Amino acid sequence: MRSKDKISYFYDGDVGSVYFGPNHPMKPHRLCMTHHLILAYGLHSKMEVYRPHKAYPIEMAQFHSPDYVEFLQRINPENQNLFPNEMARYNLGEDCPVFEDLFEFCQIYAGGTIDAARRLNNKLCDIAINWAGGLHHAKKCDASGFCYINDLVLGILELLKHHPRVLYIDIDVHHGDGVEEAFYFTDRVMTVSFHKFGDKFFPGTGDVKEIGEREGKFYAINVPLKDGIDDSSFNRLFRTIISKVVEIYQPGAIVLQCGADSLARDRLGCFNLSIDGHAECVKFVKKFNLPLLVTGGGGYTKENVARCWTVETGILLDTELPNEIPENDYIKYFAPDFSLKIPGGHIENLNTKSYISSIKVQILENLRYIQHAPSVQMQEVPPDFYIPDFDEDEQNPDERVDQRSRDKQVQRDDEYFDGDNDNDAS
Amino acid sequence: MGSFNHSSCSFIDVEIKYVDECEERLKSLFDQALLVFLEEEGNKRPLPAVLGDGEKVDLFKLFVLVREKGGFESVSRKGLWEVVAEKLGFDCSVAPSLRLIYSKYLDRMEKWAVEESRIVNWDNKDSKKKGCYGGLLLELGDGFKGLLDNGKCQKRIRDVAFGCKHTEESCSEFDRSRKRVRESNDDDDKRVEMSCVAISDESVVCAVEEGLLELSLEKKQDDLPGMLKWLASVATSPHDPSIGVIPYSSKWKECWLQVARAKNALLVQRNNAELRYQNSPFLGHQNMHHPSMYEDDRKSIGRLRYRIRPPKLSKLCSSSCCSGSSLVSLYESGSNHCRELMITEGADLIAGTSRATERKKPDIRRRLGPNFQAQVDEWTESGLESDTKWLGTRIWPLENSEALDHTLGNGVIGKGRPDSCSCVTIRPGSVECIRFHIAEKRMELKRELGDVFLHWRFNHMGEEVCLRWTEREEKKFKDMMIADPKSFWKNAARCFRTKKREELVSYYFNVFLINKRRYQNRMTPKRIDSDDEGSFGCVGGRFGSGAVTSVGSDNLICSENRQCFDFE
Repeated sequence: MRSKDKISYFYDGDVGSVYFGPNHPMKPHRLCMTHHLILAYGLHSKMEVYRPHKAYPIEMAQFHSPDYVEFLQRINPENQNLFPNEMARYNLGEDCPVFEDLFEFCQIYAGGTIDAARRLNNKLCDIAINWAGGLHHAKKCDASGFCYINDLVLGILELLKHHPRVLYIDIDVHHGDGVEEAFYFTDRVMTVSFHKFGDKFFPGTGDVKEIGEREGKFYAINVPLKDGIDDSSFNRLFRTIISKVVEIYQPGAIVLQCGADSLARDRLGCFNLSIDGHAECVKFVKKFNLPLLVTGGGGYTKENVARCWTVETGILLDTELPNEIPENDYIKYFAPDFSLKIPGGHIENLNTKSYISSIKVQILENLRYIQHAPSVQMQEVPPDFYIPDFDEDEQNPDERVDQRSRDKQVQRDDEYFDGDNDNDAS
Repeated sequence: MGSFNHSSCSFIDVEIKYVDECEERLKSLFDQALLVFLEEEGNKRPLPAVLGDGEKVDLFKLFVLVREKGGFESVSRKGLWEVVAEKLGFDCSVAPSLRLIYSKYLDRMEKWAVEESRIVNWDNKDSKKKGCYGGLLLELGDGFKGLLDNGKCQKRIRDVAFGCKHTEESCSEFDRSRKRVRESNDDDDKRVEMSCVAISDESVVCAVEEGLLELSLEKKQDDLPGMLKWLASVATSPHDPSIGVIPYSSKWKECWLQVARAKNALLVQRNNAELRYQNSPFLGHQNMHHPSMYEDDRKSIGRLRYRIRPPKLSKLCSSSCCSGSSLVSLYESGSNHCRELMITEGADLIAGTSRATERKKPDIRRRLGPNFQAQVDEWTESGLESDTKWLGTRIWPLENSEALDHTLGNGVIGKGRPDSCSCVTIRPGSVECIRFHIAEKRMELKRELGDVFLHWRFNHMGEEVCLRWTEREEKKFKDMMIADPKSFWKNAARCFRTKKREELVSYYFNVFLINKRRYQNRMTPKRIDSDDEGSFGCVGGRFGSGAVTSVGSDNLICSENRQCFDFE
């Protein structure tokens, strides 16, 4: 393990006042709450915090069509009635409403990811975090699923300037269709998405059979899951697939979309993951010691989103955070337990062992094709990274054993209250 | 017809207006036939049919849909009324009403259709052997004609049919010539599609046949090859400006005008239709998503609010149940371009009936092409220059501070909430105590951050935000929100002239919702949800003062709080 990573964290204060509209599940205020919680724990002392520049339309047009970007710039709630055709064409209005300061919001979160990618390229940091980003559904010419500009694609394009291969991992409960579609034909980006699939769940794509086409064939991996997957199955699957992918593909950089709607009790999601389970993925990816860009994504239960991303920030900073949330302005949101970690959910797990193993087998089978035909220059000296040695049937052999036992101490699944004073105090 | 060009492109433009015209004819014929049936029955039901809440029901569409699904009995048995309701653009709950309407209005017509179908034997397998689709239509057309002959509407229908004879005869001309051609070609798969065509098509073609019988064909045949050639050229290159003048007699001028109009309409509609089609799985279902769909019901949200991408447009071709597109699929299309044109046009016209078949697995259309993929260049050894200018502005740590001290252990960073606080005069754990600690932490943070505190808009966070509001404004906010949460934001700008939207949003999240959580934490600890924008409970005044003594509170909860202070 090399010396401590340098972390760059991107945040813009204006993002907390963005409001999608009444009854819309996406609430950027969760970013404000996350930032607040991170500061309450004092994590800002261990990293560098940057305000991103607001992405210029020309930068967005690196991927998106110029018409679309221009339209986003022009449209606002007052004049949206004058452009019904364009609104329909760009899929604006319902899931993706037009609200005040929409374009500014897009500029902020896209700028964050682009800046993060640039910092990584220039080796100014090892890990870059932009919780405002991760809007993976946006397409080249239209909006989709609350996403208007696909900051991930823009960030990846930036990273591709310095790295021949980039790995994209998506643990949002929804399929990362925007990013996959953008890079469907190329082998320079490998997209791996773990998501719920079936029952007409949005967006409807992401079957295991979708593997890319032309040069990009076998460079798109989809892990379709059913309702209720729990920590252990998810983590086992994640570790198996990702370690194989990194071993075979040898990316120069990794982009990780940490959508928090794969947590239990999310408004729109349907998995059973606890924060520990979710954060395990981040921990695992960090171990590869590759330049890492971490973004947010989905997450529709504000408090859990804030908790999740705070815990993951702590993990990226190699800091173990205590479970008691320190006093802060938003502490009421964390009632009744006021604790950082949340337990897993209890909805029925429809992912049978056989189903999971069949998915795994198919994916590993597809990966074999790349092994024999490395088309994107793999002659360069493989980077000095560490692939954890493990047996998938064993527990995770985390090298920091003492931390693991400390984990066990900090929280028990059945423990909701942390002390005598930890009842409804205010 | 020696020079008959059976590249199907030639059929396109004629088809289009054919479909256009036919829809109109179809509807009017249907209406007339319906009148006949109702009169026969002595049925005095009012037309147009309405649902319980006054919404009009398009009987024509309803009939087509139900027939496509196999008839009244079949639909009822399989419980497909909800699907039918959806296709017509209604809520699923009106399914029983639709069933009732169908049985009341269209029962007789259905019986007739069933009779006819038995006569002409529409079965899939049989039609392949039978071959000539036109034959089927003729027979059915005769039946329909006979029916209408018996009724009183015969004359009207004839007039109507006569009116569009120009177009129809040319279509039927094509039909006949195609029949001839088809006998020589072997085109089995298309015939399968024909067999599933709904009755509505037959009735149109019947009218066509009818009109045909009235006119002599010989005269027209001379003009046909020229017309065909022109149409072929139009179809293959619709943008070609040289195609402007008809090379033949004025008898076809009406046709040409319609064709030209249809062509123009097509080009515009094609883009819209295609894209619109991409965005909604059910054309009738567009714009159906009311904000109330974002209710806190995980399952329904997952299914209702998000929409799947529609199936491949090209697959529509093989699906035969769209009455418009099936007419279209009658004529084999040579080029994909034309096929798409046809389908989108057909789909546009007969929206609502266009996706009658339910495929077992919705085939999501993979979007490929320059409009969807990113431009990824080849990797070069040296790599491209990555911008070194726009890297973000460092906000923290501040410029003048020392380099980050990485040796700070966990003891200082990431300290959680202490188990016990050092409050003496205030009762530890009380409302006041917590409030004090929150304020204390806030001051610490402010001191530490300095200007950055403002950069990160901490001055807009927390309950302190309410200090910038007067009591009257707060009350107004609360009243407006409770009265009508949905339209609150629309009216807010008007009512709070001095406040910017940012401030309103900030107040909402920092004070209003906190209040709500305060209430929920106490009153409904099992059902906590600050995002549920329906219910609003409120406890206490600012900063929760007086919270403990709120009315209607559960005594048990209150008694746990062992305070006996009197709050202001």
